[in-house]
Amino acid sequence: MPESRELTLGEAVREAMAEEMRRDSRVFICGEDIAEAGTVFKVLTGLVDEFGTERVLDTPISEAGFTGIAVGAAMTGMRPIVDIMFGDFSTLVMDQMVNQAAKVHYMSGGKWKVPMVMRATLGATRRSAAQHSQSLHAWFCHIPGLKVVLPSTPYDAKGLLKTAIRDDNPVVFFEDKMMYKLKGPVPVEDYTIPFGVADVKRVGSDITIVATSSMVQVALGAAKLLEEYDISAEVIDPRTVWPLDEKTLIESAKKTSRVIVVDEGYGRYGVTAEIASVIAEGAFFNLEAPVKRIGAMHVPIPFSPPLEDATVPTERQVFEAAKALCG
Amino acid sequence: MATSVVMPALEMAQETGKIVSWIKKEGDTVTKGEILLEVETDKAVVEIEATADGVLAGVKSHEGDVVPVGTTIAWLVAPGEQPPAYSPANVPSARAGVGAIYDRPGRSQTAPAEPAESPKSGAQISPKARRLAKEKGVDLSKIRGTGPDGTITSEDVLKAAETAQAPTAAPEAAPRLSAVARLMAERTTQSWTQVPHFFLARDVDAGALIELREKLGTKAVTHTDLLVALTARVLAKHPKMNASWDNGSIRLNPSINISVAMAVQDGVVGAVIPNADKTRIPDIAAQRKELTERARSGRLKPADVSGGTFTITNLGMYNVDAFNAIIAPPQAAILAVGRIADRVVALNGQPAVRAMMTLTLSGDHRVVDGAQAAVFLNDLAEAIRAPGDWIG
Repeated sequence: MPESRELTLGEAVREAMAEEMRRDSRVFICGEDIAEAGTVFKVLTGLVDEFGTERVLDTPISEAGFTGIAVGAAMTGMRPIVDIMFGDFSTLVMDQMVNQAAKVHYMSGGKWKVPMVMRATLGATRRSAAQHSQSLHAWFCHIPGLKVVLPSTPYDAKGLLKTAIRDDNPVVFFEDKMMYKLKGPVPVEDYTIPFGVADVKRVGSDITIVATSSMVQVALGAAKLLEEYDISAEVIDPRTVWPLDEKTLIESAKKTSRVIVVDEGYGRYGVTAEIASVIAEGAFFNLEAPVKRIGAMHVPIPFSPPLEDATVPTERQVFEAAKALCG
Repeated sequence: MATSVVMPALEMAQETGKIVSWIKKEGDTVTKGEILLEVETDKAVVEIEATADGVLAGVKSHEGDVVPVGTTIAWLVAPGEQPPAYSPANVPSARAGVGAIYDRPGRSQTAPAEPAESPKSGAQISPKARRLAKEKGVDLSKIRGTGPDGTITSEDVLKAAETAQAPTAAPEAAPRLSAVARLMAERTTQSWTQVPHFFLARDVDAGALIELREKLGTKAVTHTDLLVALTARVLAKHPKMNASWDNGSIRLNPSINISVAMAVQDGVVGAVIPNADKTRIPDIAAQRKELTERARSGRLKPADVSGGTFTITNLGMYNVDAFNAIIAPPQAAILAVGRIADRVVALNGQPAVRAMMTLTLSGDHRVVDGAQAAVFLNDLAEAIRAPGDWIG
């Protein structure tokens, strides 16, 4: 029996980075307020004490600048981790990530590689208003050359982050800021989780709920409510939205014939749109109903708490949608 | 401009009408008001008139078809004009052949035609259900969907496939009942099982009735006509006998409309003589005669058979002495009349021969009781014994 203990998602992320930094001296972190402060979410607390300010590098408020540094460092043999405090600041790093990090390997004919990780946060309901609450992971999924990871449990966060750090390509790693306190079992020994392998978080037979990041917990809650109605819901977490484990999604859709996709990003042109389309193409003749998508309300996220809460998919919403689909 | 000929709603709750016959044929020139076709409803056969001048064209529904009300069944067009194309929603699919009932009468429409390419004529079909139906050779048009909004799901298809495979031990389908036969079966079952019947029988001397009839002319007036007139006039004194059971309360009817049970091809209908208490005997006779003729030819109109408040049924012509009749709800009573025949009766201590007749009154015990009904029957017997007192 492998040894395991309960860690929070934040602790699992920190442990993954600490272990990788111990294992590989080329790994370093740069970002705002990450050293002494240990980030605003206290995820990196203590890392600077072990690895020093050269490997836990506090930067000025200059996302484009330090992301560019990371791209260059990666091209010249380092394995940087960039800390973007709020995913909303992706706007500032887009040129470095999209036009540099994602392109260099292709444009150099494979001579250069960019083994870097951009860590960022997503998720609303932290009362952080419109510029600090968005879930913009879909933007990166649109770009060939970037891999996009959305962990939903401490176990997945640690295993996936280790894989990200060891990957020779740029990886964008989104953590839901509301999940840092989520606890779950994490093995003591070293492990990694391969990209492009979805995880069936709950086995069911009547309806498939595909969910990402914190929406996995929402889906599991909805599945529990559905039990009372004798509706058996299967919950699938793709874990990486690119590469996407299409096979597992399609197989599940074929099995249950009804699918809901839940993601905290905006639905329009978003992750739910892509996954719904994959399922419609792959399982069309096994579907009883159109694939239902549930995403963030298509509005800038309000500061008012009740209004903000209303923009995020809820257990009840998923539950009602599932009931309607099952008739 | 083309005018549509639409299956009319002739009664409140009518959902479909059956085309009995087309009087005019495709291509016939008709003028407004001419009879185009005959339609059978639950209660009657009705003649449908042309609502415009024109040439009958695009006849789509034929004799025997059962069509939802509101459906366009033909067009009246100008000479040389083509009838408009039917919308898919109005065109019966292959499955709706002669005698078929459309799946969704509620969806029928009088609205202008939809775009011709609209593919949906009814329920949605899930992609999975469609594939399975193809694989298993199931006809989707015969399936009723049980999914959300009536969507046909794979479950429905699999069920249908199973049913189709099950050995068919069902006997050959009996011919469909006519509307009259079906209605009679439903109404009598409902009455006999739900209305608490009681019966009072009374022999009456019919001598005066026979005399009165001879006075008025045996050709023109029947015993039934006289009984209609007398019963109606006696009912005026007994409003509860002319009342109706109305969902837990008793409703007194403002007018006295006597239904006369008439045999028609497939059963019996009650043809109504309205305000019979105020109608003169010759008029009652004339009305009854006309109704009889219409009933025999299956051409009673809805109005002919609605609104009755008390029924008289006479089987005397078949030599029946006495019988118990089933009440026609919501009416409270029905009078069953036996034949008039010479019988030996005791008269002043001596046997005598008299023309006697047995009346049997069926009452709805929720509306009237035995004593009230007996008083009415007594008055009626008295009126038959001395009709002159009642008929001016």
